[in-house]
Amino acid sequence: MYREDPPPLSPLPPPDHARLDNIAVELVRNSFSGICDEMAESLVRSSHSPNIKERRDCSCCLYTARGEIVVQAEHIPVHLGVMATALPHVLLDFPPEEMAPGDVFIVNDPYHGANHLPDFIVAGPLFAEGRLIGFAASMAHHTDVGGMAPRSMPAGATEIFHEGLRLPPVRLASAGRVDPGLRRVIAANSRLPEERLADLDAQIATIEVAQRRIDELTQRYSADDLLSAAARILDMAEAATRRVVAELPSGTLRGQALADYGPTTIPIRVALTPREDVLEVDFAGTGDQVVGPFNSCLSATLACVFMAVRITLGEGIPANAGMYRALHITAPDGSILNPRYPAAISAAAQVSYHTFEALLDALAPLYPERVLAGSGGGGVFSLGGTDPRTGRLFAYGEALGGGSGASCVADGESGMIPPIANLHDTPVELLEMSLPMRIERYEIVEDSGGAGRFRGGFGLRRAFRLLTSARCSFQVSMPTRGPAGLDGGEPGAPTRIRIVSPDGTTRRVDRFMDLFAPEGSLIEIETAGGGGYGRPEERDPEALASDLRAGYDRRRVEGEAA
Amino acid sequence: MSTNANGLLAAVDVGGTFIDVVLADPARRIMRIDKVLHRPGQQGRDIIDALTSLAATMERPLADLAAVVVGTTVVTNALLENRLGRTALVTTEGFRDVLEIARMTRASSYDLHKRRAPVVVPRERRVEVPERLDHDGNVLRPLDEAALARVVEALREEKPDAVAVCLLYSFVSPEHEKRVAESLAPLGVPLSLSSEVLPVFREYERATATALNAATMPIMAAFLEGLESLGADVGGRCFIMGSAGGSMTRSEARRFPIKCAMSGPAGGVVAARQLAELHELDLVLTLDVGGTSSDVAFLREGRIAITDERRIGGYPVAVASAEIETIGAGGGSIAHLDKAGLLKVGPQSAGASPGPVCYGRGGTEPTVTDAHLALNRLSPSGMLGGSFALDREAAIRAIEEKVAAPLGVSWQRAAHGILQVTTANMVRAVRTMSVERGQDPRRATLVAFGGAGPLHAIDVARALDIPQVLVPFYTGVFSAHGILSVDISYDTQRTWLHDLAAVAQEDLAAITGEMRSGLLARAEADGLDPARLHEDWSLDLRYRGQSYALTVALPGLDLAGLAAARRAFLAEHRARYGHASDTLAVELLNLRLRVSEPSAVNMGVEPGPAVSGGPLGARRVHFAEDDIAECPVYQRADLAEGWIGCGPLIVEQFDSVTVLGRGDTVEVLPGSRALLVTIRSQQGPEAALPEGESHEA
Repeated sequence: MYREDPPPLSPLPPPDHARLDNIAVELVRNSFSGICDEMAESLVRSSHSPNIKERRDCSCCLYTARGEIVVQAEHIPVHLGVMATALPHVLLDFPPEEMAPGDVFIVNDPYHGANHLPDFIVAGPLFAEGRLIGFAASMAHHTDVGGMAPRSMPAGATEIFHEGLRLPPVRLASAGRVDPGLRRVIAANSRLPEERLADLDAQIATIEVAQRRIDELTQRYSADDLLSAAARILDMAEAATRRVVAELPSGTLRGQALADYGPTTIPIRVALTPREDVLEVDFAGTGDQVVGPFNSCLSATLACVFMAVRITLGEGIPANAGMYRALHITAPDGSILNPRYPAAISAAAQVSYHTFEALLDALAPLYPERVLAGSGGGGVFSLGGTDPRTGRLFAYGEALGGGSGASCVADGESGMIPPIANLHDTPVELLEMSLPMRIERYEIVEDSGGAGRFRGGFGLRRAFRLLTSARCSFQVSMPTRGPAGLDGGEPGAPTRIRIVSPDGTTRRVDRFMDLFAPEGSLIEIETAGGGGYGRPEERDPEALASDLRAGYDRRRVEGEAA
Repeated sequence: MSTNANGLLAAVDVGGTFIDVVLADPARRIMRIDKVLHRPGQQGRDIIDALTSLAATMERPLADLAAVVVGTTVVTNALLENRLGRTALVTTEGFRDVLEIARMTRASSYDLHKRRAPVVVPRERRVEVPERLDHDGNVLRPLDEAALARVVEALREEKPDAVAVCLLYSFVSPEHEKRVAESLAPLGVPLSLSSEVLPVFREYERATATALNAATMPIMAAFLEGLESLGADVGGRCFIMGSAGGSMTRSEARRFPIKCAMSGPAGGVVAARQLAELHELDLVLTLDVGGTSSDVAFLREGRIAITDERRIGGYPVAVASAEIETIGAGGGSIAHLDKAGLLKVGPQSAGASPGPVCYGRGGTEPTVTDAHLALNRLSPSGMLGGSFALDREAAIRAIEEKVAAPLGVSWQRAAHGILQVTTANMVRAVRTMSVERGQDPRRATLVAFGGAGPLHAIDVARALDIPQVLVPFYTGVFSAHGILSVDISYDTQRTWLHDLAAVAQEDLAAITGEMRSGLLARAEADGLDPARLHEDWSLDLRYRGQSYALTVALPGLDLAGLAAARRAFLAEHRARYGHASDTLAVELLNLRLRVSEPSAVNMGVEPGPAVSGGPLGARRVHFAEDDIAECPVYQRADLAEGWIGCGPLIVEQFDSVTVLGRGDTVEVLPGSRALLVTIRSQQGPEAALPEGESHEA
């Protein structure tokens, strides 16, 4: 049960473009943008999942009546693609002309336009003067949606069915009344049912926030004004993108990266070719999908392209679906970037680190002042069990950043989430107050940044002591090779994870792995450092001396002593 | 603030370039204002000279000065410009890099080259001591005294200007931090302990606040030294305006400079509170528009909203400060087109130099001020009594060339558009501070100040259906006027994580007693009389599982007080987020205490004339592209209390201009001489009159 291609846009008549001048269009855009911010603020503040409230793993956006993104609250870049592909799938099953105010829909299935299963997309129509003028949606990462391991990101999954509850587009509320049956199904499929329901309610509330604000806007603008402004916002971004694409030098830019999840590395290849005013982005030559969950989904792949375009040739152009119209993206069917149903997919974000790296590699010659060398990350670590203090189930996990890649003007920063996923960490004190674990160290991994004229940032060391036995899933990122350098820079150090049992035995985690760790185990994670930029011989001696003083670079000290 | 009924009061606002000095005689309702150049290190002498000459104009000796309150941007600017003291940090072993990891986030999702704020303490001066507590305060690993001694010696070599100490769970038990402080004492440098600066959970935010406090201690100490002579002249009654809306004694400011990081903007909120009290306004929003930015705040029932989430210069500053939303929109904000062709205003600003095109100092990019001038909302003879003429033709040319021509519209439409976009940005900030906090702006009064506040407030009010705008008499020095009569206050907070339903009254009594005695000891040491101090308790509550808490008042330190706080939390949660559950468990996160010595003074304004003067002229203001109206121009000083006018009209004063649209009305309020503008409610995006009506006078 899947739907392969994004369905065509719903056929609504094109609005009247001449209603408002550019100043008025900007005023409407400003209001839309305020609505998105308010939705996101409301969601972050009233949700219960650590993922949403502390780490801000959520996004909100508004769409046109045709289902194209107009504006978004900019939290997580990788969500951009998902928000773009999920709504058309909802509209295919639920025709807009049959929707009523207060209707809300939900989808989380990557084979119906969504991202991995923990990301719930909740969307609803917006009405002005009784007419449908667009949609609002929020997406949030729910901590646990069932499946074979706590937190629904099992390292050993081989099919989507192992990863949790699949929701194709379904109706969650009719005219403001939430379906109690569906709520029960969702709650019953989570290890943390109360949290699921609270977060779901917070997401539904964001749609209500959006409709209330639209109601206020209609005191100043007619439905036709709003429709026209939304269409113009997209058309202007499209035209601007087409202009810059048309000005690109002819020829193909090629980039590649090696996606690393342990057992082997998968090549990701991309070719960018301007064809008049359309940019063709082709991932031909990319490796095949893998048996485990280290597969992107098409929406995550699109997100990487949107992000890379936005920060290079599209810099300064409002990011919305208008920009996307000037891009023609293909990813081979059955590849790691566009896997076939029913491939497991929960580690899509880790694949995206490398997709983005390949895109920057391709764009670096044209935009050296905008790109970075490869950035490190440790992947996702999840665990769960029964909290001995409360007798309740717990599930927890986090994505750990690493060293950021160096740029052509500066060293990479340390302990930073990779560019496509701007998440926060969870404070040590919060973690220990709420979960049966203790953090023994949280620090920088010395020597882990790739050398270069500008060196990569350093990775993180986070050491967890388990105060109860737990089932752990490691979707480890970059365990065999560190992120690549650029322009002669060296790669960063790879991720290293080891588990020391109470009896002293040590296990290395050098690939995707699910395991059981007894109470008292120490889990030490060292995440990958960033790649360097430029040849190491060109490094400023003063910068080397400064790194020595700070104790960032012990290799040199030890080297000189030897 | 003064206990001497005939004494003079002074307020001083020390900015980066200038010092605003205000001297007042509350008994006679007289006030004098001066502006002098800020010469660091000499500010005390310069302020005294300015005050002496102001006092002379009142025919009073400076010896009559009873108290002075100083607002200062010295801490803010140090953070913004990263001029911080050479600081060291002591942490729990294994956690010295928490400061550098900075919650793992990137400075910008979409600008990969944008960098985080520089780490407050570089790694070579971040040192660790072996010790560890758990979250209940139990000692998992005792403090290693031998290692501590080595750390102290190592720090001696580093010769820091100040040392910060931030150990895990110091908010539960400060004992290890105190012991570290004792060992560091021989270094003879200021110490900043996280258990004193910010005893709340989240180690990165606490460490950053503590380190920033240490890093600004030398800066605040130097600043206070410059004020030494001033303090001596007023018998020690010299106070520093704090971020949370109260003033601090100098010793408190020396201990906690980070609590002065919002000193300047907080003054405006305090002033607005006094105005709200005088006119019995329940819900007040403030709009303070300067050259490069605008500040928005809100007050409900006389309470200043407090936040822990302020960011300054890229750093989280989690100590309590008045909740103020700042946006990059002011008079100097530059209008430009983005790549898609949409009109944007700011955040880039022409600043004071070169300044707007109309200043004639080399500015070439059209600004908000240029738009006001082009549309005749500002007078070409400028403000400041005509001493600063403006070039309207140059402003129009720049708007025509840079905005109107590329957009294919008239310069009038472009200029009007610049103001509309600016207003829209301000509206978003005001909405954030009202609607998003569950407050209905249609019940509020918007208090406008700062040089350009009154120029924008009426349009902002119209867009949000705020029924009235209040323009205080001392618009340009409103903050300084407000802090003349600010309370002296001390505040603290403490993380105390408990299920609200399970809090035992005796535990509550124990912890609140501890917090109270700590603050009272500081106040007494500063020479305040504990009997005159007023206590104000509040709680941060959340549903179990949430991260963000809402702050509500705790009306009594007993179970009834807790029950009232719970009810207030549910109401606030519903108002802000649209939903609330009566059955989910509510958690107590932080306790907050503020003790204050109420000010004895209510500073009024100088009495106005008995009879109002007529308009001194008229200007043809463009209210929209094709809507011009002849507006009589009144001088603020000529208007008697009780005067009523009907727009369109202009009221000009030394440092500000208020422009009323057609149908808006204005009254000069008795007592404060504030302009109360009642907004004519209006529909339609252009805020224009119905078509077909002639707008030509």
